[in-house]
Amino acid sequence: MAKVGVLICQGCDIGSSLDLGALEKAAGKCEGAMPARSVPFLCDDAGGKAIDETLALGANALVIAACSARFHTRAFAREHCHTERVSLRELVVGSHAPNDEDTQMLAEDMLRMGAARAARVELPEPQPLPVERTVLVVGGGPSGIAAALGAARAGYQVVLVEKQPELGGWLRSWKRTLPSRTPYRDLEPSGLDALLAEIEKHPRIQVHRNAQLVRVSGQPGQFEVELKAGEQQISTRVGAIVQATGWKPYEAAKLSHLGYGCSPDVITNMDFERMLAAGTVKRPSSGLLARRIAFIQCAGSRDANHLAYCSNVCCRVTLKQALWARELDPACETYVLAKEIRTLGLHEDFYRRAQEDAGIFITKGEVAAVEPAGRSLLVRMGTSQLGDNVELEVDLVVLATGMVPVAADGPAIRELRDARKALAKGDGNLEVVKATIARLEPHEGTDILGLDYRQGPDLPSLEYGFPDSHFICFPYETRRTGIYAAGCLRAPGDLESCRIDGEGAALKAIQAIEHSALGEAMHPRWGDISPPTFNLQRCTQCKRCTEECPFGTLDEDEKCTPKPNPGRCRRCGICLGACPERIISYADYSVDMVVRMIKAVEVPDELEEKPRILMLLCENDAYPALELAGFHRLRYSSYVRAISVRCLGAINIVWLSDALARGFDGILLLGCKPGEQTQCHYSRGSDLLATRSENVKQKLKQLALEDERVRVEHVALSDYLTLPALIDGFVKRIEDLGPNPFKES
Amino acid sequence: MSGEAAATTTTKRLTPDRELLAAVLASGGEDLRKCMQCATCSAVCELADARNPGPRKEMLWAQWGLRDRLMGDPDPWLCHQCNDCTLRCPRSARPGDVMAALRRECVIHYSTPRAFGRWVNQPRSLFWLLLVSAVMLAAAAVAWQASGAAAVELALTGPRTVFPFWTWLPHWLLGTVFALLLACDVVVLVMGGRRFWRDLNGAGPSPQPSPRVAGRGGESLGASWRAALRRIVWHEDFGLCAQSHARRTSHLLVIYGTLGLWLTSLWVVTARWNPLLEGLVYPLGFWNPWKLMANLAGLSVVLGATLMLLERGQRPETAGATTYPDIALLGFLLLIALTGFATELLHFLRVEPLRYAAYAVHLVSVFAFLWVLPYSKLAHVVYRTLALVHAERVGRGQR
Repeated sequence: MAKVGVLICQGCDIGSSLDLGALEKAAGKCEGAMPARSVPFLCDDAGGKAIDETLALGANALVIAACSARFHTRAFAREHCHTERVSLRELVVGSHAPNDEDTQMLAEDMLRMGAARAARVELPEPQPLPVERTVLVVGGGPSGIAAALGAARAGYQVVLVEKQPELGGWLRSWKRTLPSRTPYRDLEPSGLDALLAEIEKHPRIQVHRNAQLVRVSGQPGQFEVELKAGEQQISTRVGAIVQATGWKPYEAAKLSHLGYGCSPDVITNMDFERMLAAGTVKRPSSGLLARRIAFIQCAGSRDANHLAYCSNVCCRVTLKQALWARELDPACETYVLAKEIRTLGLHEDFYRRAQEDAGIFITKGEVAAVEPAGRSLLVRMGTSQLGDNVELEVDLVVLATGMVPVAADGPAIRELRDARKALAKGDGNLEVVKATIARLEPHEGTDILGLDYRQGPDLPSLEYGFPDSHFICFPYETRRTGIYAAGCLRAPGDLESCRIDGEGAALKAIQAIEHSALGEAMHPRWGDISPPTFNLQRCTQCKRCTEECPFGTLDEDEKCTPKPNPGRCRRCGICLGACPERIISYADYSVDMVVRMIKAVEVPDELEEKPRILMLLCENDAYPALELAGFHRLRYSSYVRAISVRCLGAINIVWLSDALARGFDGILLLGCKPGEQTQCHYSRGSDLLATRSENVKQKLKQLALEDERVRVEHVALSDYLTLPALIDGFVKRIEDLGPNPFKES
Repeated sequence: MSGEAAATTTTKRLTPDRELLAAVLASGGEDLRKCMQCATCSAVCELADARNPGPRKEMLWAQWGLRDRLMGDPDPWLCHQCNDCTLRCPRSARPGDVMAALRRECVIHYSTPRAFGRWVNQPRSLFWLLLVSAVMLAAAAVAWQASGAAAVELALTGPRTVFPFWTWLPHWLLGTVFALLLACDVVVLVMGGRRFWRDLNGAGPSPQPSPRVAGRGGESLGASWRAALRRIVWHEDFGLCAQSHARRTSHLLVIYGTLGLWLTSLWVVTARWNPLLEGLVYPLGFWNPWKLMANLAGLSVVLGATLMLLERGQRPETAGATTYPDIALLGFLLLIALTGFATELLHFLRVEPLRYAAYAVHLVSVFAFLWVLPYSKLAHVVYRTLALVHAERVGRGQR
């Protein structure tokens, strides 16, 4: 146990709002604490000297009771010493009445909690890894090429794997592409040849054509890759992986409502691109020139029955094709029937360019039907800007179909395999197993990466089947550490966004390698050097940790004992929250540490009528939001005691029962939004807590406690303005419920 | 859609007319293609119909070259081109200019013969028009003299106060020829007006539904005419525009000046036979009320047309695009009025032979103008009036 030095800052109204003598006395009574000391300003030279003097007196852990950990982070940190920050400024003085009994109690409790934690924190030792400074790029299309070139130019070795006999992907069949530079008016040649030539002559890029991954195992920095290139078996080691397997067009066969199949003259934009590349636009039915061409936008896109999303490029591709067709045959007319034209960014100028062409007619409209009429086709629009129930007679209909990612759903494949095994063995409820197999059958044989991971051979897919982990904050991240998604696999986009994606993902891959080399975690706990440790003697092989880890960190042996891969770990603590035996802990975060913090709070007895509410706040959004509320001097009840946790999923249920047993009257859990559009920084934490808190409610019922005493609320950083009202509402409800009957009296 | 509704709806075929589109693009509407249908124009237009607002819909129809919809559409004619829309358009598509181009195309569309209408609205027609008019008048004068008809006419009508030049083409002959030409103009305008009226009411081959609202519209034809004329007399619609108030004044000056000149001309033509004018002998003295009116009317035209030209030259952003038909009409009005004044002044001062030259130019310009009148911008007198009457009929009168 550490010897804890406690320093209290008097600046920023702390000294004038609190009884510092009482505070020092309370801190001094803590386990392992040296006599506390308060100084006028901790952030000036004298303050720094005071910290050093405390360390000279033998302290090997510090409690800095001053401002939020977001301020003066480096100034208050010392080597070989844990610094525990207690933000008196934001969480006490900022939000509570000065020189008030309850505020003083809050400050003392916070100091006790900080000291309790500081006493238990162990200093982790960094564990550097020997890493392979090679990036594996899966897929040789535009994004893959950009990733390979990006990594190679940055000085890293690259292994580029392409399934087809040649690199280039769809770009091989695009003769002309959208403008990529100002003034964004003219179609450009694809530029593929120059890229291929650079790849060809680059000494650090090794290309495998006709190749597929067979097996990938290991962890970031040390992936073992087996692949098959033609008949050849190749084994290699790589440090990180960029998956850029691209997209395929949505199946036009499902678009019979837009006339696909009713006539050979109803084609897709992919077919039309081939026609344009060949140089003449003819009707497939008769070989006559097509002089009137209708483009139907969002063919199967933004449609709940097909692709619910917008593929983002189809509008621009249609404008490109219309311009190209007009260039080939100035007598032809093209009609663009769209929900609306979406041309992202500066491609608005390209839209303007297309509008200038007097042979391109554009309108909003919902196509109701496409029917053959003699040698032509009739396109009927139910509603349109040109009026309801209008029709166009055309020679050719081009359906602007959307993009479907070429991704495999790893967990689904794993589930299917498990079900197949269970069926073979005759285990479990065979009806359920058969239903599972029927449901997951489409995933058969879709594997791409061949990950040798407990949670399945590929990246888990999120919304709409894209494997991106968290769209807004962390582009390229997936839920497999060290493996990054780029290009249209990540989100539909044009060539320019594929290029940016490829390079971005390559940089992420490089970061992954370099952080692994230092034994550090990756986003969002950058630089965390403390991997979880497992006290395996007490493991009951319940598989909760291996199943619930959002990043597939843990593999299993035959007996289902977890096999950690620290390099894959993001330090979210979800395993710690899951483990019923509480055998998982980090050097600076453990079940015991939080239990001791909870116990450090002095809960007044029933007669004092001062309820105590435990707040566990996710460190990513909810805790900073609470600090922001204090920073903005927003008031809320001083009956709450806040503890920062790594994620809602990193809350072990024992903390809740301990708190209730200790006499806390209510527990408020604050974290990110769960569900489809989850805001959880670890993807699954908030969802897991939702399941677990059902168990908590059951437990509360068994104890004859109102289940309202534990509440989960979802808070984003921007919610700091409404957070005080939320807290006060909960405190009010708890006061109405009356004191916890388990409270000492 | 219910079965009943489906049975009553008819599917309309869209047939883009690239000729119309090209004509709009070529005559001041060259920014039409920039429109992205945001409807800012409809939102800012003081005159837009709340139920079916323009100019947004006209922009789209014009982009698609939907001739059948545009030609029977009253909205371009209800627009007074204040250019509120043009100034606010986020894409600089200049809806005001497109509406003007549509009006020009409408005049041509309803004119007979249409090819002649299209030709005279191009600048290259001007030279030929003036040349042919001058040659025709000169040839007629030579023929009149050479054939001896002039001598006969003099003998028949007896001695009178005539100026030598008039023996070349006597006043009554000129009046008769010009009146006949004017009658042709009126016939062409009436034919065009009838077809336009039929299209406005959706009865012809170009159905254009005019929404009627319960409690409004459905006025009798007479009441509609009265209401429309009231709107024209004071130019109230001009006053609604936020961008250009000045045009109300200049247009009033030109319209009443032109009216005055027409009346004087009619008097001149009919003087010989008009019993009301007995005793008044041509030429008139300076203080004769007819002469005074003619001079005031001429001044009014010159002033109004000059103001309009200044506005076009100095504030092109609010005046809108200036095209040949705009300049042609103002030019003809100014030319006729100014050569008229020049003739009067030179005649008064007896400046020989310049006064004959000025008169000849005056006659040639009147003659040329009469050829192109129903195809010129002046035809808006018919189409705009009919559109206003229609608007009153269907309950789109001024609020």
